[in-house]
Amino acid sequence: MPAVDPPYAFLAELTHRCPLACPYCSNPLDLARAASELGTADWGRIMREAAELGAMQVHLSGGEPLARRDLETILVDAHRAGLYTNLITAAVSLSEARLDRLAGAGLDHVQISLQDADAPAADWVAGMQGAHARKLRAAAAVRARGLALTLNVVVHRHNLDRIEEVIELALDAGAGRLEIAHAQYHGWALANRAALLPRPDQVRRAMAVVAAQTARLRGRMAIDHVLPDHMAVRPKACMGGWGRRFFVVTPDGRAMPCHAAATIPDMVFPSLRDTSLREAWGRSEAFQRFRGTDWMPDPCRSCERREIDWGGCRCQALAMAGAAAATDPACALSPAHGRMAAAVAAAGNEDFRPRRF
Amino acid sequence: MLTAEARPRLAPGVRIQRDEARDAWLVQAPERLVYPDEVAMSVLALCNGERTVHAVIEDAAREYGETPDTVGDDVRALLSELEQYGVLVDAGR
Repeated sequence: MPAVDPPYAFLAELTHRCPLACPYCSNPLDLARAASELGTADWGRIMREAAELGAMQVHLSGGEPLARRDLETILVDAHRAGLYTNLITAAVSLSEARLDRLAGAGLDHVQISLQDADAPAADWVAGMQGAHARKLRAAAAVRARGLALTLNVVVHRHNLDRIEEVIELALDAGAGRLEIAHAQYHGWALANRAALLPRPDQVRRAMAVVAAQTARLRGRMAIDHVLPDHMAVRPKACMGGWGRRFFVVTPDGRAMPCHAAATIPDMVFPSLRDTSLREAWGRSEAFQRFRGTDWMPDPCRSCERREIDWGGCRCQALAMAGAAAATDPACALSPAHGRMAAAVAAAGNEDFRPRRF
Repeated sequence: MLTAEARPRLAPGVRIQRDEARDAWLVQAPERLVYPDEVAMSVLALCNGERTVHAVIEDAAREYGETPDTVGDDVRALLSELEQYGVLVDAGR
């Protein structure tokens, strides 16, 4: 077996508990209960093992990572291991006192999710009255401490037409970065796809607005935004390639190549309760299965882009083409490519199902 | 854009550290990893928020035994790229 390069970064899903109910949540439909969560010492060990393996950044996420009362301790362990620490939070429960403790524990960067630029619409999607206002107060508190701030807005049919307002809001909030992320249609978002997928004309207009604003704001605020898969002709290098740069640890301690990988039914993910991260990353069947290019079917295996996109998204192949090893249907060369446009055509303004336990 | 009078410094949330596993210097930025080469590292070391772009070019030229005219375009291109990555900001802004 050839030597496996070490990962660069990982997502620590500390909990699935969250005060919000966003219908595009990237957590699985089958949410992990608090009783199954890893303990403080387990997370400390994972931080050290990850840094020893070669990871440089940890994204502390969930659910809502602030729901963990031991977040400060976990953060100290990550910081001492030399990891760059990024807190990914809904921030509705982020007090000034807690922010001081987190900053003191070595926090490098805060990413706050916003649902919309319009407060009532944002609160409707989040399923919580007053959430939007609380987030903006938390963002101001982050900036007041000189911490780096990214705002993340998941875009969909109901907010994409307010993209200019989102950009202005992020600028006013003092964000150094704005991530405009199209919903990824796995888990809750897949269940709510018909209510969330934007119309092609909405996407095209937003692409033009973002391109113009990105140029205007250069040096003041960076904007990350990519064409969504449903309108693409080539797949994206999902996670930078399966088991190539990135991994996820679930609240109950399973190591996975991406946060949606659990949707692939016949995969067994190594548990970091009883497996070392080095073993999980380097040798487990789950990380090996779609690593590199040997697993690829045609047309991928002979494609000149096979080491650019690494075959795209396995979970989307499963959801749209019926097999995790199939060509990503985002690619125009996939026999199932037409299903992406068909899903867009079939979408309408149906009600969505809020994320709940 | 960083003008000649801009005073570049590391942006909030950016730090430089050693990547032991890959035996390289690494610029850690929000959700971004940048591996600078030797020249980029020496230019970054000059970006302390006090030197202007103009002064960074002069000092970089001195360091490499060149004239500002010879290295100016390369240094400006490098600073611009680092600004685009979110690594550098203008301290005077």
